[in-house]
Amino acid sequence: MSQTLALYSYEEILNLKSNAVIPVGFDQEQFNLDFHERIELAKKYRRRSSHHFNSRPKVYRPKPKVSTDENGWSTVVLEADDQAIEDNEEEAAEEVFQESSKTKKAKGTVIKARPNNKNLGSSKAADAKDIQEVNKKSFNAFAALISDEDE
Amino acid sequence: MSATELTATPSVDEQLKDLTVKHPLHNNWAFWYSMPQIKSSESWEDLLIKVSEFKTIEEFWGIQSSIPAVDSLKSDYFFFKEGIKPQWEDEQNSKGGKWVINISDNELGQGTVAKFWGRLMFSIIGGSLEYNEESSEFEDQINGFYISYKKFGYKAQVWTKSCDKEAVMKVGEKLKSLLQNSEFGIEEEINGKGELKPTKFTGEAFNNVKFSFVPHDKTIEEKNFIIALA
Repeated sequence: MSQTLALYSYEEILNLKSNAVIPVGFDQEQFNLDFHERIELAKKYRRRSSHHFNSRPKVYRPKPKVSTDENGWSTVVLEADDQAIEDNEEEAAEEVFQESSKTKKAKGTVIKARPNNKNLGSSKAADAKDIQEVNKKSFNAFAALISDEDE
Repeated sequence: MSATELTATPSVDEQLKDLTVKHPLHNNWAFWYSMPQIKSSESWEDLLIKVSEFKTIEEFWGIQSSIPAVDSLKSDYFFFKEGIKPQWEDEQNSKGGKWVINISDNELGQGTVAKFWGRLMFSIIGGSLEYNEESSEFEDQINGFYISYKKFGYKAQVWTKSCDKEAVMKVGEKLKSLLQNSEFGIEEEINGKGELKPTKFTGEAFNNVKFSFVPHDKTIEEKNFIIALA
């Protein structure tokens, strides 16, 4: 191909729009059909998909900048936004800690104990004497005093 | 059209007329399309289709007026120079890199994506982005360019042949001027009277648009440049 200057300005390109020619081998109808069909299929598939379950969202965390001084000490440099975020995180963490310690105390005051019933029974057979109803004589001090005075 | 018409050879006059009418491009191009992925088993190569090749402005318009507008795109449109695949593994891409620009109509205003994509196509295919007025030569630094639909909006990429800083920065600076205040555009920038009314993007939102260069070879970290619109 000879080195003609094939440089076109916006207006030159635009003026040639009406001369559009479909390149040989380009089936525009089939392309458009496939284009829209594929989009519809992709939509249907996405509605049914559950591949995103049990996945955590990706959180972008920029790498901290580290500056090293003359003595060789490296320090993590926090930008203004990072500092603000860190402060907020610290405050939030403190609040969470306080809240959790309060709830621990509140929970501590009420102890729910549940006996394990299977350990309460005895494997030994009960003694018949222990469960027999016997009238036991009991000493009544008041009654005794009254009767002595009368006599 | 009848079968006889289809097989009839055009006369010499018709062929000559055909040649004079068409406007050749500096490079021959191929238009590629990647279909939206449906199953995870579908690989990138399975989805990538070379739709058509073209070598004139008229054929470019033939494709452009036949495909759905970029606003309805849910995957990628690629334009790569003939013989270069839109894959970094391609021998001609492997030593180069890409300028990446994320743009969204929600952040930058309705129609910005279509205008920017139009400017990109016109300036690269029309040759103005690669033409050096001082040397009166084409620099041939660009291998291809494409646009991808993303959740946030669209990602445009311009792939370069090399990672040479001077050459790459020149392309980046031109891209920046394209988005902000280029005279280029597409039908979105023509008024009812058919007059060109290019939009100048100088609002505050455009300060956040970053042009980042990333080499295809990830080991070359020092070749990462970022041009911020300001």
